[in-house]
Amino acid sequence: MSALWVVPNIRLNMATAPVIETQALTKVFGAQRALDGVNLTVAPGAIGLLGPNGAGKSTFMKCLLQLQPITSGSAKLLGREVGREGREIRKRVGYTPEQDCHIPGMAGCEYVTYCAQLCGLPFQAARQRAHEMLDFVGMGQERYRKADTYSTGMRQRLKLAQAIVHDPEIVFLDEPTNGLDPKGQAQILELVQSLWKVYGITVVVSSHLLQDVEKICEQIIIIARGRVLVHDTLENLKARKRGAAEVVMSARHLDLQAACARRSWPCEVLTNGHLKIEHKAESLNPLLTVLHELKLVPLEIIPSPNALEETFVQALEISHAAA
Amino acid sequence: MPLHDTSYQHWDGVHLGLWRRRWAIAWTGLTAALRNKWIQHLVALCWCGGLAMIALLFFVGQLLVADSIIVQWVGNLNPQLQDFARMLTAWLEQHPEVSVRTTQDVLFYFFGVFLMPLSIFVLGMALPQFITRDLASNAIIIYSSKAVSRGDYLLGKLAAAFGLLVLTWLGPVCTAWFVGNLLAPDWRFFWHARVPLCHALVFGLSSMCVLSALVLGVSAISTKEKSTISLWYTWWILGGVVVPIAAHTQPWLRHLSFNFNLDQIALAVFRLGDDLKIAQDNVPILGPMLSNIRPDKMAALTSPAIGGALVALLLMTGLAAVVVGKRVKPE
Amino acid sequence: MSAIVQAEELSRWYGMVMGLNNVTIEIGPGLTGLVGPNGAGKSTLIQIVTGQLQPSSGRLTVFGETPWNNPRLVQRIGYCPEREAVPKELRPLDWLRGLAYLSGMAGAVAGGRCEAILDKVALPREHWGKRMGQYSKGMKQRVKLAQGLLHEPDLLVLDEPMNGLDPMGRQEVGHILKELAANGVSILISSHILAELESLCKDILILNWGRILASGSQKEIRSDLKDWSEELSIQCDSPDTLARHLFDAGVLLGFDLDGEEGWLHIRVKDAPAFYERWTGLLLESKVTVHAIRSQSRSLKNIFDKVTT
Repeated sequence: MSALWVVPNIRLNMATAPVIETQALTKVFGAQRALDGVNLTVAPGAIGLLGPNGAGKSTFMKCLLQLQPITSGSAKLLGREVGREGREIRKRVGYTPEQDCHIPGMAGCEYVTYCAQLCGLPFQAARQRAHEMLDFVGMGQERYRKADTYSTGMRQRLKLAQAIVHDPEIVFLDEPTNGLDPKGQAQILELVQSLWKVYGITVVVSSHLLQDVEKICEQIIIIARGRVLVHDTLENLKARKRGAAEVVMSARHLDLQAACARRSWPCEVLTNGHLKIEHKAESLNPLLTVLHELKLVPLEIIPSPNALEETFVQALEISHAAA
Repeated sequence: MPLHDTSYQHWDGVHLGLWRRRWAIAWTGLTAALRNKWIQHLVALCWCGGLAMIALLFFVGQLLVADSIIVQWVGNLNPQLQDFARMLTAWLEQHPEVSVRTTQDVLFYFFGVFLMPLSIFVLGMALPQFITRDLASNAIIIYSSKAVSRGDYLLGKLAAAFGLLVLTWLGPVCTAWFVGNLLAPDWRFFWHARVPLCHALVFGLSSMCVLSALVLGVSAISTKEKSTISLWYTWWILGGVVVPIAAHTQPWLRHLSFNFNLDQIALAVFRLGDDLKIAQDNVPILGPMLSNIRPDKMAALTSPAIGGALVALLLMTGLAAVVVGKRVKPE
Repeated sequence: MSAIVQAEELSRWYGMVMGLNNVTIEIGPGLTGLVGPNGAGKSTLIQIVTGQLQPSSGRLTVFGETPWNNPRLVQRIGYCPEREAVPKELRPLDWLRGLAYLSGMAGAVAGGRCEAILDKVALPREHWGKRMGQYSKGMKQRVKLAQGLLHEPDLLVLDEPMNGLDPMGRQEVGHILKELAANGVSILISSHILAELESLCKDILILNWGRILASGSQKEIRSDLKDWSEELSIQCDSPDTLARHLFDAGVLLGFDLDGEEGWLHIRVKDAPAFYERWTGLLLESKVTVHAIRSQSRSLKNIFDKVTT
């Protein structure tokens, strides 16, 4: 964070009005039902939108953003009907698409200013906010160069800047870390996390990288086969998977494995050399007791590892079986 | 307070209306086109044409001023041209209402004919700016996610093309008319020249609308700049080649050229045939001068194929609209 | 264990621009991850290994031979590039069959092999009839993987193999790769997704600015950096109680409380001594512990440390 201290200036009327409401939302492409009667009420927050390819996840976002027309049912974004009040809604909505898209021939700051104007900001305010947002995403002098010459990292930052320049209430991010190296990924994720945590802007992150989603999202929605399989907080999902831990040790793995075997705790050696132990307890204390008895030293113990991935896979398997 | 908050700030200002957003699209499109040096040169050329037009109107007006330089200069021309100038002067003095109208009608017709190919050339150079590049770089998605609809986007782009044509066509024409008549010896020239202005505006505006629509259509055909530019110029040049050949074989083929159709509109609006007849009646020496023009060419000038031209332009505009509708989608 | 790929003082320059600078490495059998920021030289290294580029100086050998201008060696190498390198107008079977013929596979064998490979990479049969221009990113990725595996290579080089795949797809591809590695195929994976490399690969190569910053197994790299971390984070029910207990035990240099989610971040005085008493101290404090994290353990943090 660039400022020395941060004053969270969350809007006062944010309260608990749902940001997304859908009722029997259906989208049909010829013979295929991409969305099949989706009912959702989503509160403001940091939301992770997951789902297999072709499951309806992208279609869901596109229907909300009116990039695709809805076949039947209704959808409300920020309390307004999506089909009827598209332009009004989009004044308050930001979107970073997955693919590379920018308006060619413009410098970065011109582009972001233009995007602000397209949302109704007067030119002076648009220009001012464009530069403020470019500061926020960490872009320096590059902003005066044509956007066509940008590297992947800068393009992602530019996409984020144009999505928030008009001060939206909700931002949809489609694979925000695509193509970025680890440092770039961390920086973008930190920015996105701060949008909700500090500034009260709801973020909906659609990603295949479950680690990213786990890091920044508190609500999880899993869509598969056009239906919502899971809609819950990350905490609850992790709580369901409690009882497993990934243990990182520098030495004496075999001793720990033997101890686990004696207690009938399933123990698996992972490729990175760590041990995954299902200790079946609510906290790590029983495991710590075992380690203490054997005088083993854990460097790290990660609870519910891959909880989100397991939930995801499980939900899909159930959905497959039901189909 | 010494330390300022430079983190993210919320914005609570008033949003501008829809027309302002459409204006932003149009303005951005226009300024992007004008960044091209060659387009700047061509626009300057159009305005030079406007200056030449002003000079011409001034010269015609100066024929009525007894001791002007023009009158002296005419005295040095060959006998046929001296007769012509004398008869024209007499006509202007005796029947200014008709003579000013007719002469300026003819002059503005030819001025339009001069500006049209320049404008078409400029549109071809600016073509990719309109829709082609946006399609290639997926910018349509960005537009679709902002507070503008597909219709607003297209309206803005249409206005950008129209704006470019205002700079190359309408601007020089209106300026030439205003300044040319301002420099006339008599204020009544403004009144007498009202009909030529109407004709120029009707022809200019309708052609500009059609050309703007066509250029958007061609711009949306492909994502490759070279393809769309080539298509525009090929269509224009091929049309120019086909028209004289088809005149003798299959006349309806001429309507495949948008340039030809617009020419017919010009001839019909300005009623060049009637103007030339009136001029011939009042300036008899014009007869032998015009007899140098081939009869079939005269027939083409005096009786335009307006019905076919209107239908053809309507179909072309419709086709352009269909192409744009299919290619420009939010996703 | 004999090295599959060996580089000795390998350099590759593009005029003044540096691609690789004096790289000496050995890649052994099994799964090896290749990591580095954008522009680090990963693509250059991969192109030299797959025989598409010649080194400017130094040497690189794969299975003891240089890959440049060596079709027989390149036959043993499979390559799955990052860019979308599948022809839009073809159907997958046609494309793969063409590649199979180019590799010298007989017609009768090729057809069956192509179908088997497509099944292996889990490309659903209902999409086999479509042209690849209509495919999603994930499906194109599977075809690319298939084209790399087609001729049963001994060395498989993958550039961002999971790009565009959903979590299920990533798992499937992960299983395929582990199975191949178990069957003796060497696999070199270049990726930005460190978590995946961490779970898949035993050995890691970290590149930056055309130079090798670290190479070896994850364990070796970590042990080269300080083994004992002096900064820890513990998630528990009452972080302040734990903090007080640890402070009273005299092991702390400093600590930070994050009351919202129950985290206690500590810095310890004498790491080896601290770790001797670590589990005892935790249990004595009687707090319920939910997680113990150490900042410097993950590949991400190693990467950060090494590349700054």
